[in-house]
Amino acid sequence: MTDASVSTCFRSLTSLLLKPPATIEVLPGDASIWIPDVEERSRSPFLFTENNLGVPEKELRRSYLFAVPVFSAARKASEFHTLEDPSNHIMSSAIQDLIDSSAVLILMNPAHQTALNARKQLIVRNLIDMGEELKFTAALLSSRHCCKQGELWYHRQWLLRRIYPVPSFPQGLITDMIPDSPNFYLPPNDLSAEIHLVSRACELYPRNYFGWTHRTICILSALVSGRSAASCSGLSLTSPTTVLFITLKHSQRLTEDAESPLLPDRLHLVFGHALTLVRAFPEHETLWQYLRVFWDESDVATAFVTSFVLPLQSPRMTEQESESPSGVQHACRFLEWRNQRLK
Amino acid sequence: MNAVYWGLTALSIMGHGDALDRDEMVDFVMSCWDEEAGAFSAHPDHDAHLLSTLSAIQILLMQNALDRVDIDRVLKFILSLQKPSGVFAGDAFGETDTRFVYCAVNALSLLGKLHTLDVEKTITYIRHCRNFDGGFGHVAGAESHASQVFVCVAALAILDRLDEVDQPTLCWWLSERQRPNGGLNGRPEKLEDVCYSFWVLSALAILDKLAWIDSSKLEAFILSAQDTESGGIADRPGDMPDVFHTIFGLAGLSLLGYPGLVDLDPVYCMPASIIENLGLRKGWKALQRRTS
Repeated sequence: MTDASVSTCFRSLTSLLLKPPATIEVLPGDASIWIPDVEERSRSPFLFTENNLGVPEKELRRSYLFAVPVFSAARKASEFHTLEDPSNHIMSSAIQDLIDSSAVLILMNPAHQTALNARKQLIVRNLIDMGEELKFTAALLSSRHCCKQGELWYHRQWLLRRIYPVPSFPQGLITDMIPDSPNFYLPPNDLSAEIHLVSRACELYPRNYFGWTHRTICILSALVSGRSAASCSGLSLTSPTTVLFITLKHSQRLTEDAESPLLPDRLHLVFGHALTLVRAFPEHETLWQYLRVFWDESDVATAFVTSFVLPLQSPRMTEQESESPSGVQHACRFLEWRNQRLK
Repeated sequence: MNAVYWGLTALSIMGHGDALDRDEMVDFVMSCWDEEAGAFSAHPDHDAHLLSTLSAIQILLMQNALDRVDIDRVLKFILSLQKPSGVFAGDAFGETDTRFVYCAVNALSLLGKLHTLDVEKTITYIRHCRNFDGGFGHVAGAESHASQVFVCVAALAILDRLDEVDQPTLCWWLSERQRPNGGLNGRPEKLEDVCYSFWVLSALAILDKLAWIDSSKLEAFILSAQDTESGGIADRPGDMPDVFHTIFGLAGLSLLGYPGLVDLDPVYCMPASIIENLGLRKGWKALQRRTS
């Protein structure tokens, strides 16, 4: 591929990235696999259908290698670009190169701290629109290799904080919930949008650590701000991990408050819920961990062990073992933990 | 920068710390100096960051070239990143993470400047990150993760505050990271990965609970993740090796007493002799080095 054609490919990619699309997918191989027609491929080696962008991996790599020196040069040049009145600035080619190249660098390497920082600086200088950047990051987070990266989730939280700064609350509420995290105050519709974004990311990559943390930050912000449960209505709390961490953190916080409405009978309901979850999904280790938090040696607990845990871990129950092999291991470990506790 | 530190430490553990050209390495580290920030970046013309600054200090220490560092400026950079809650940001843009707490504490300790740190504020934040399962997350309220467990436990070890750890609960959780094939995972319902041979194992070594995992099964797992044609260790058997998993696989083997390796300090993840010479050794315990 000639330098001119690589440059054209790069510009084509950046124009598509910065639309921005609704989703982005990196496709294996090169453009010839996905766009057989040579003429069509020469116009653009990327797929763009109904606002969904498909980027063949080899074309992304070519564009990335082109973007690296462009970014470096643009970064140096933009440091000397002073703006006394941001609203009347004329976009210089260096600034545009910085915007374009950083977008490609981040798609290739979503943990590229320097490229992410450059975009933050451009946002601070009003050279990138925050709303457009939110859409761009949402598109990136629709891609599997991007949605795993903590740096990209943080970039989004940084944006949300700028768009929805925390209003004045009594001391010790939001900022104490997650100290020095980018807490923000999402309107209900935007909260739902963030939850949907995380759900989509977790479909791509289950046990998405940073995605779930982002979801926790969003929901805790809504809870602590004192808004009603209606703000959180429609949120699906069926994921074991969601149940585990959100309910636990909220429960732990409220049980520390002497005037908390979470009385012992509510804890009993949570314990019952935990037992139900383990019975339904014994292969999920996180649910066994959840159960341990509320475990209390009672008649109900003893009956659960006798009727469910002991048969599950018994090697004689081959049918149950074949249905849930990891459930057997979890049951064994649960019993070891319980025995240790009883000592 | 991190990759250079991983590579150098891996070579050092195998007794070949001089396999790479020292001057070239030191020159590379110094080319990553960010004069504006007063710290080191991951690569020339990138932004300074706490992660790369720690790696730079570790590399220069191992290469006996710490005199090349403007310690006062690095100190100022590190301390400027601590937030009111005690957490550290990685850079001026404010992403906070318990990894950065560890980087700051480790770096200050290696530079002999730990006395400049607000220790109680730092410990208060780590305490906020402790979860019901004894583990620690990357921020307060986040899920327990073995790598975050390592950074919090190691930071507390440096600060002589292991009393902040719920040791029985945490060590139980760590021991449950071992999968049937002997490998370790980082949190429930994840696959085993060689790098957790370090994150989990080092935390257990610091808390003197290495006996709580099956060491021979783990050792066999790490060795099975080697690429016997091109060399190196991968995240799990059959995958492509990389420097990251090679260092942490070797680090795990060293802590397990694998013959022929050099002792590794699990708190600093550096050759133990260097840490001992600095007077920084803590009360961790590895398995005895086997002769064969």
